[in-house]
Amino acid sequence: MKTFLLDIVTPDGPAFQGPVERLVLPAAEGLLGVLPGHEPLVASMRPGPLHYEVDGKVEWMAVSGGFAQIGPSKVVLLVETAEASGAIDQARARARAEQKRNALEGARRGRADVALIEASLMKELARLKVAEKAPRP
Amino acid sequence: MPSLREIRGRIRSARNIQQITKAMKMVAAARLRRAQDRMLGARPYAALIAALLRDSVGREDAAAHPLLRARPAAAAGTGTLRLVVLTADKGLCGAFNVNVLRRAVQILREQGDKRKVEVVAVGRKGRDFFQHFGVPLAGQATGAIDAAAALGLARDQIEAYSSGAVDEVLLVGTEFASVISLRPQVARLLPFDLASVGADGAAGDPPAATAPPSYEPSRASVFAELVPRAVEAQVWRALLESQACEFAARMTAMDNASRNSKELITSLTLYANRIRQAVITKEIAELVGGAEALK
Repeated sequence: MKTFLLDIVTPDGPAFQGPVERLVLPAAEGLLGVLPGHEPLVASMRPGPLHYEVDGKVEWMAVSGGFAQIGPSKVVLLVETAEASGAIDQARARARAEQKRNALEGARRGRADVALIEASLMKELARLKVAEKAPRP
Repeated sequence: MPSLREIRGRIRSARNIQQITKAMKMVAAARLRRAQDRMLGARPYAALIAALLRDSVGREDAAAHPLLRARPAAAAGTGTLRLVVLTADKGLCGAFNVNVLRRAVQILREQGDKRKVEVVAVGRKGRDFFQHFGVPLAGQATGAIDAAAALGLARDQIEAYSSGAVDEVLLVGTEFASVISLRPQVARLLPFDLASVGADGAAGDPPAATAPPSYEPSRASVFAELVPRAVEAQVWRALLESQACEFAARMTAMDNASRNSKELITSLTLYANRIRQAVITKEIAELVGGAEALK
């Protein structure tokens, strides 16, 4: 199977680097699937779950917003954070998503920064979704 | 001549100081390693995001974004200049803080009569320095360096620049070349300097561009988002770099201090032994003298 190189870089260091067969990432206007030989594209990303396939195995990762730089043989994702499904505690992710949801309710009533809280809620929901995809131990 | 007991006391205090400086050196070395890892981790991100920006600018109008456009006031050497000065919270790290502050003061002197210069102090040492000399602070940040603090700092600068209150922002910090080579460095933060971020593609290069890429959702919106991110990445990188330098400087300073106290102990011990021998010789002479007198 044909592959391309995926490189996920965060300010805390590289999160993943290696050949993958398929990649689905949360672009600003919906999910974006990438196969080898994709045309050059620069896309902004929103917080959300992404997954890629290596040797027919699907790996999930929660990313916050950033940019995808896509080329025919290589894809670089520049994201603020990236967490693999195994590294996220499902119960804690759920609690935090709940907390953010409540904060958002409060912000809508008041005049706090709704967009900011909305973004962090999206991020927590992404983490929760990815945590659920983790293989059961 | 000081008494034997006085000198023994000095030896003891030198030994105590040596123990403390040795421990501080060890702590600094351990924290340096961690800081260095974080710094090296942040470098590729900052470089890649700057490369992506440079790449898109090459095809765009260079002045397409307000954060990239140089103000006429700054070019003419008038308007308001803001210095973001990165120092440590603590001292006992050699000339680390002094070098940065000296550089900042130099710029203040050179630019002060031409245009308004304001200072944002990061780190307690810098804050105290400017407060002591009555330089008004436009902002300050102390305490642990984390991503949230860096983000806040970067956003403050972007806001000050966008609102027109400030026409140029310079970062005065320290660049980490190696443990023994720490250079005070001045880098322009805003308007964002595309050439300033070197392309050290250590972690990999951007995908080779066979054709100009398309942009999603649109070129303008990607661009509008990309520029502030690049500024944030540069601030984060500069903070981590400064932190690694602080620990490296402290490690070197404490190593020197340990070595100096070792020398001090050696020479004091020699001196103490001389005095001890002189006392014995004197006592023998007195005994002999006394015995002679009894004959």
